[in-house]
Formats: sequence, C-alpha cells, structure tokens
Amino acid sequence: MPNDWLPGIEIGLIAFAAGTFGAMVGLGGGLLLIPSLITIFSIDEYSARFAGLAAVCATSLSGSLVYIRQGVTDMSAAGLLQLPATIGAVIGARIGENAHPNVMRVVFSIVLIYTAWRLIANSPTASAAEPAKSRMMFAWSACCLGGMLSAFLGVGGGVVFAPVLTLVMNLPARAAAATSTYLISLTAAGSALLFYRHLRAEAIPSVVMPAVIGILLGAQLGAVLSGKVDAKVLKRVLSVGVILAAASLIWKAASHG
Amino acid sequence: MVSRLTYWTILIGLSLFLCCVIVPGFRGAAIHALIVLPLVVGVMNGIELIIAKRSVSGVLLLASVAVLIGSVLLRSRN
Repeated sequence: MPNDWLPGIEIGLIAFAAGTFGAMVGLGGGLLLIPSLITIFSIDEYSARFAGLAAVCATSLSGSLVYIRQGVTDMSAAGLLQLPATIGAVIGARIGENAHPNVMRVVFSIVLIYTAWRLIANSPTASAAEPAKSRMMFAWSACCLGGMLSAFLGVGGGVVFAPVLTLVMNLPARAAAATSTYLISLTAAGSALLFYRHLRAEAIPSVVMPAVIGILLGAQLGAVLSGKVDAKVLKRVLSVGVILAAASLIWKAASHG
Repeated sequence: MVSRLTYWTILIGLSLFLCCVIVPGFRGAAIHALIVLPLVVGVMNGIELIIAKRSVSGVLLLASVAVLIGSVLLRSRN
C-alpha cells in the first residue's frame, strides 16, 4: 500500500468514529471531525471547514431521505426558516474569509463547550407562551445566527436549529431533529460553495473524500447503535471528549498566537 | 408520502454521488455533485411546496437558493 494513502485512511477512520459517535447522540460529525483535522493532522482551516461542510451535506441528505420517507420532516417550517439561515451563511462565510484562524479556533471552542453543556443538560421542551409574531422574529434571528456559525465554523448548525424548532416553532423533538437535518443540508452546501475558491485542489482526494465517506458510513453505524447503548453514559463520555477538543483548539490558538 | 419529488431527487442524487465515488477518475466530480445536490433539492422542494399551496414556504425556499447562487456568482466575479 503506498505511503501517501496512509493519511487518507487515518482521516477516514477518525471521520468514521466522529460520524458514529455524532449520530449516536444526535450531533453532526463535523463538530468532532474539524478539531481533529486541525489539531491532529495540522490541516489548514479552509480545507477542514470544507471537509466538514461536505460531510454535513452527505449525512444530512442521507438522514433526510429516511425522515422524509417516514413523513416526519416539516417541509413548511424548513421553507420558512431556510432564508434567514442562508443569509446568515453568506455573512458567516464572508466573516470567515477575513478572520484570523485563531478567531475561528476560539469561537469553535466556545461552541464545543456549549455543546458539551447541552449534552449533559436535559433536552428542552416546547413552550408557546409568547405571541406567534415575536416567536417568528426570534426564530428568524436565531436561524440567521445558526447559518453564520455553520459557515464560519464549517459545521451543520443543528446545535442552533434543533432547539429553535422545538422551543420556538413548537415542533415535537423528533420532527425538530428531522427538519433540522433537512435544513442544514442547504446551509452547508451554500457555505461550502462560498469556501470552494480557497480550497487547494489536492485537498479533495486527500482530506475531503475520506472525511465524507468516513462520516457517511459512521453515521449509519451510529444510527444502528444509538438504541443499544445507554444514552446518558454515552453523552457524559462524549461531553468530556468535546471539552478536550475545545481545550486542544484553545491550546493551538494560544501556541500559534 | 408528502414530498415525493424531493425524496426522489435526494435518492437519485446520492446514488449518482456513490457511483462517482466508486469510479476513480470521477471522485472530484462526486464532491462537486454532493455540494450542488442540496441546491437542486431546494429548488424541487420549493416547487413542490408551491404546488401543495404552501406558497410562502415554497417562495422563501426558492429565494434562499437564489440568494446562494447570486452570492456565489458575485464572489466569483470579484
């Protein structure tokens, strides 16, 4: 086996693990994959973000296929929230192009710490206390922020979309997960298209392709395993991993100041 | 099933992506196809929503695809 295949295989294995664990707890694999690509493989931020976004496209589309077949996805809600998410993605990509890599690392660490907290805390429940119009405005603002984060960091943005759909649009948890999965595909594709011109040509076969295939296969395994493992224990273990990833990004930002 | 057109677009698109992945010379094309696929799905879903008389959602979805394509074209011109 040629030596130049080895990094690709290693990236594929890491992506497979990220996809498996991510799917088991309802996270996109990008949140776990991108810190690994940056810290372990020293891959530049643009390639890591593009790989994460391409992987998000693949997993969200394959997940949407199942959810749409089951009739769980609320297409109407997805249509209403897609525009602010897309506008946010365009703004986020613009900011991401001009920002120093350390800014991206620090913001990513903050999002990871928030995710770890959400993994340990209880799931949110729907509430319809506020009037519909102000709730819609809040949903649009939050989705715009989710789109910005998605483009800026190279993740799906499900961390923002799913709670918005549950808390603000009053969707049941499963419908919110399905709609969020569908919503992130277009946001991620848009962000990836905007980053495309910064991508090195050699990064596609060596980084992007193994990451996409690894996460896609890992997500299928994670979906199968999700019902068989104690979710509480898994979430606690994974939250420690997520905090370690955040710490490694902060360390990298500090050492490359 | 509510969204047949969207469902079949995703199914055909992902199948094409996997076919391209298997053939060595088409792997770069596979990634391009994967990135463009959600835009095609968005257009199909927008049309489907308009036909199903959920015009506001459909038009907003088509508008978001238009915003994305417009911003990519503007960026490539600069």
